[in-house]
Amino acid sequence: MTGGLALFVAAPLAGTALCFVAARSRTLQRSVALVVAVGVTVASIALLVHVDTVGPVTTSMGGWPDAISITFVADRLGALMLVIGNVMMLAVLVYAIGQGSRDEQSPWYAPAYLALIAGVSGAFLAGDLFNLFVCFEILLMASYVLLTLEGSDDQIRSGTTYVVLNVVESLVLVTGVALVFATTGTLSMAELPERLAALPDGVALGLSLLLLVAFGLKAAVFPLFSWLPDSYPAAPSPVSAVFAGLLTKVGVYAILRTQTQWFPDSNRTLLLVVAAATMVVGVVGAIAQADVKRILSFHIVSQIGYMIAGIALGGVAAVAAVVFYVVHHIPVKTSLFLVDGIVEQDEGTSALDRLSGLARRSGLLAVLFLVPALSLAGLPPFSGFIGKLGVVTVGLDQGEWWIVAVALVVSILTLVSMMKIWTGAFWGAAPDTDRDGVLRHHPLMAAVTWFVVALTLAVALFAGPIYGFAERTAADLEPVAATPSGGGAP
Amino acid sequence: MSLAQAALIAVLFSVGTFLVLHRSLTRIILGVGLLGNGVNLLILTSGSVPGDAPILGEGATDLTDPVPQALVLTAIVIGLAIVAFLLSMAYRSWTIDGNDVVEDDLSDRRIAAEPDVAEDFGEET
Amino acid sequence: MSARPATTRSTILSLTVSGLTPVLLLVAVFVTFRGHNAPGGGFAGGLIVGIVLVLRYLTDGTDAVRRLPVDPIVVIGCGLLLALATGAVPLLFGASFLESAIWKLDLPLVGPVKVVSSALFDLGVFVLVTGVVAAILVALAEADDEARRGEVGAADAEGDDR
Repeated sequence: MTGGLALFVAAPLAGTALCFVAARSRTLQRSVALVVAVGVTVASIALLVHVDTVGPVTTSMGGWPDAISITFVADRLGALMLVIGNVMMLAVLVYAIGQGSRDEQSPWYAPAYLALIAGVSGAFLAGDLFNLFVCFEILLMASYVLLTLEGSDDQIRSGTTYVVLNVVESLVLVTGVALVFATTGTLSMAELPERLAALPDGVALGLSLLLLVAFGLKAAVFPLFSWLPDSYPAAPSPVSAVFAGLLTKVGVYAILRTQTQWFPDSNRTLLLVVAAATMVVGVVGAIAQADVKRILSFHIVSQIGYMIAGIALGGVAAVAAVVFYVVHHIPVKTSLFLVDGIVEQDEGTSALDRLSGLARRSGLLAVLFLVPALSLAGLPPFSGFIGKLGVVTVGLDQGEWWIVAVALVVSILTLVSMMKIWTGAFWGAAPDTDRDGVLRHHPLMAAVTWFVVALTLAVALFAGPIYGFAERTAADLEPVAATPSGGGAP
Repeated sequence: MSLAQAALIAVLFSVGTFLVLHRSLTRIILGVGLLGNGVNLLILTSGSVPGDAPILGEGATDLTDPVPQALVLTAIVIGLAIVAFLLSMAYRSWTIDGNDVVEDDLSDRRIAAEPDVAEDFGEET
Repeated sequence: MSARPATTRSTILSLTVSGLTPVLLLVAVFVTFRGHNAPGGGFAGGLIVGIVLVLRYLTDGTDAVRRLPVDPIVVIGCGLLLALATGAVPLLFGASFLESAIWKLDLPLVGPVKVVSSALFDLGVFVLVTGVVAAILVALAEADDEARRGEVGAADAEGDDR
């Protein structure tokens, strides 16, 4: 596989180019986007199997010696994230085509979406810190465009917050990259753990905090989360679904890599406190809101707290729990936003005081909402329970009882806020509507939502094998391992 | 890194930060531009001492470090794209409501102004 | 930002720009192809063409970008495709992505010429950047025209600028 990994970025970008050339025809653009998304998804699944059975894959570009070439590395963590990311983006692409909203009709939608796929794929495969930054930029630029595509007053207002904060985040990140290079003389993810370990403690701490602020803003952790609940609800539902499911998790992925591989055993207390604050503030914010999309957006923040808690605890068991949590969280969160998209499509709003009795009008939709909602809250038969159990068990093992207490209380509060949506929107009498009967929406939207909800159930059903994979991934990430990200001899 | 470079970077960073903290999008864009330049200079200084052009196979011995220069080129291009996007957004904001001030989150304000939200909720549970 | 009405157009600027246009275009091509071993490259060259377009926009107003023979979106697409194709073709020959081939030719009359396949990549970037600047100007022109229509008709014209 000489150039294999490069194609995960190049193919979506080529799709972007084709979509530009075919700007006149929406059908042509959709076909290109679908073909590329399906291709990349299938290839990423093949890559995951290959990486799990054979070992990490490395690709260098341009035929340069390894030290100065651009490298892409696929280890277990990267390949796993790649698969989930691509499956979700493919599902949401189909959903958006079914919905056919005004945004989706724009000639810029398909190219921007494909660029988003390229950026996300690249971020999970980047073999050095600077490439990670570049791929972040690709996905951010695409997300700026998708978020403000309509150019309405509301989108521009909330988009401004999103764009400015993320631009500042990019600047902090690139400052971090420059300082890492200045102190260690390398940016390769394979070499950095060793070189960083040789640095004086103070320097390493400064670098780790700089990167933590940059990635933390992307992941929306406690003091840096305020942009998220403001901006995501303004986007059209399919866009906010893919943002909610994926984009913050790219930040979590980066924190996971940097904190476990590069700066092990540092910032533990800081991360724990941040994690607890993120959980609490997110869920309290969710309870206060009166709009489905905004409640769900605050939940993203709250859930990020669990992942950060796992990262803070450290060790193979904790990292495995985090990996499983991310795998469970992405489809759950995406499906909740997709359900909200169906509601909004029909009712034209997601404000709780204007919705009522949805369960009476469409029992299936109620089920589609209830399954991921309960899973998010962490109720037993669903995948969320297993993820939370993992984090909580490690917390107890390590004697950090207070983070466990916070996690459990927040879990109950999550359930409470979900019940708020349930009683507000799904329960009660159907409004005196003249068009009673089922909600009207495109069958593709329902089909995709079913698929994603089924995926969340599959995560619960196959929790054993997935958890096993998560444990192998965590073992790979252990700093004691000889070749942490597989960037050894290519 | 010479003192002059360090001082220049410090000035660019501080002025940029000051501008970014404003509410007017125009000032934010100027601030982002200055911050970007500061970061680019920082990247340039992150390499080792200056030397000959880093072209392999031409007999030069005292090569300068090519990596920061490659990084800075990329960062400049990205900076251009970001500033172009921000400018178009400021222009759009100006065509919509005649100014470019970043406004508060309306929905948040509505909830903060509504004292009975919390009480309603208390009854429900 | 807005284009000048016909009455306030400056003849001097107009004439200067007309004279400068071919020179600048030549410089753009030169900068693009010298970029392999010297400062320059597709990005800088594309921006110089962009400057030509901006100058035209200043002198001729929105007409300048209305008369473009091709849709800028298509130009962006073609440039990106060319750049990516240059990267992907080496894969067919078993080399790595973006690897550059170098041919040294000895042309009659011209003398020894070094041709590199990465020049095509630069050309792609050149086309792409040109397209991006043109697309920005077209969007501005549309917004401009819209605003003027809004003023004339005193109607609150609502629409997208993208």
